[in-house]
Amino acid sequence: MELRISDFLKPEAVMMDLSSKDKISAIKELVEHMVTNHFARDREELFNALAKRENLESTGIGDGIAIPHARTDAVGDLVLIFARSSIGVDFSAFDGKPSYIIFLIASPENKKSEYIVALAKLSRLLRKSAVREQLRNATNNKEILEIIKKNEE
Amino acid sequence: MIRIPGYQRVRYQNIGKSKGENISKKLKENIRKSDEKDVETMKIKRLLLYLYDPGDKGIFDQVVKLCHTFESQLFVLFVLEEIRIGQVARMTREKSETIRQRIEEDGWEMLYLVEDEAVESGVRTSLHMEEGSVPGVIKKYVENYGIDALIIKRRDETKKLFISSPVPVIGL
Repeated sequence: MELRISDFLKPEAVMMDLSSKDKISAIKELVEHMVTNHFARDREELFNALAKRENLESTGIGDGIAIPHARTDAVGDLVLIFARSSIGVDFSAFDGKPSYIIFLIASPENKKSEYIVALAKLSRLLRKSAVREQLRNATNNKEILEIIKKNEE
Repeated sequence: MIRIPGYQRVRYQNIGKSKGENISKKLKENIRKSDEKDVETMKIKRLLLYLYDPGDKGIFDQVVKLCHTFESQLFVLFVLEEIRIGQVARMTREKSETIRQRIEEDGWEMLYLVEDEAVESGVRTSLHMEEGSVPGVIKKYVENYGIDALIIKRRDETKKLFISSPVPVIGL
């Protein structure tokens, strides 16, 4: 069966207003949200895995988007977290622009295939300017989920 | 043969059959044999890997080892070409948009697969999805990011890049 982003994104995985301004603080805030909502079991391991990737090269892909990601057994299954920032987070993106839409993807070590497919699908989806615009203008988590679902069809 | 502008030509045989470590070793040996001044100034700081299709997966391991050996930063590039999308659409009689989606998703999957291997080896890697003509996009990357060499899998579709590339090409 084909993997769909909307199947993995839960309403409680949507953060409508991230308060952090830099990428490390933003990742910490995202990790905290994941642990609090039982998406992850090990705060430190998850943060270290995400920071390791981030320190090698930024996951800010430009156009106001960042996709921090990691394979780690700090999560039990493929997890997606959506976060939006009204002030923008400096993810050291290639285009120099702050990130307003942040999608975090984490998966267990043994789910590499699902993880790669999820990253690919999400990246393709977020290259569409209309989708980015809709996500930035959505007013609640229900709308965010609907936008993702609709644009995946 | 690897051609490095400003440097003597470095003869290099059976590159396609060698493993990444052997490639790096041979290249380093050849560099050592060349003029000392050249050795001092020759750096492969930034490598651009151009991906064409999932058949390129076979070279990922060699590319990562090469970058690891030279401590190079790896730029991984996939280009969405309208001509290619049109050709596949005509062949399969599917809608161009369906083909575009499939090619783009395959492209992203390859990009993230390279990244996954590179991160394991501690290689700095950035992923790039672009649209346009491949030689044009490569030229833009060389100019904008100071790319030192281009890596491609040797195949019919990438032959033209050996001629058009503004930087040395490593064909694996």
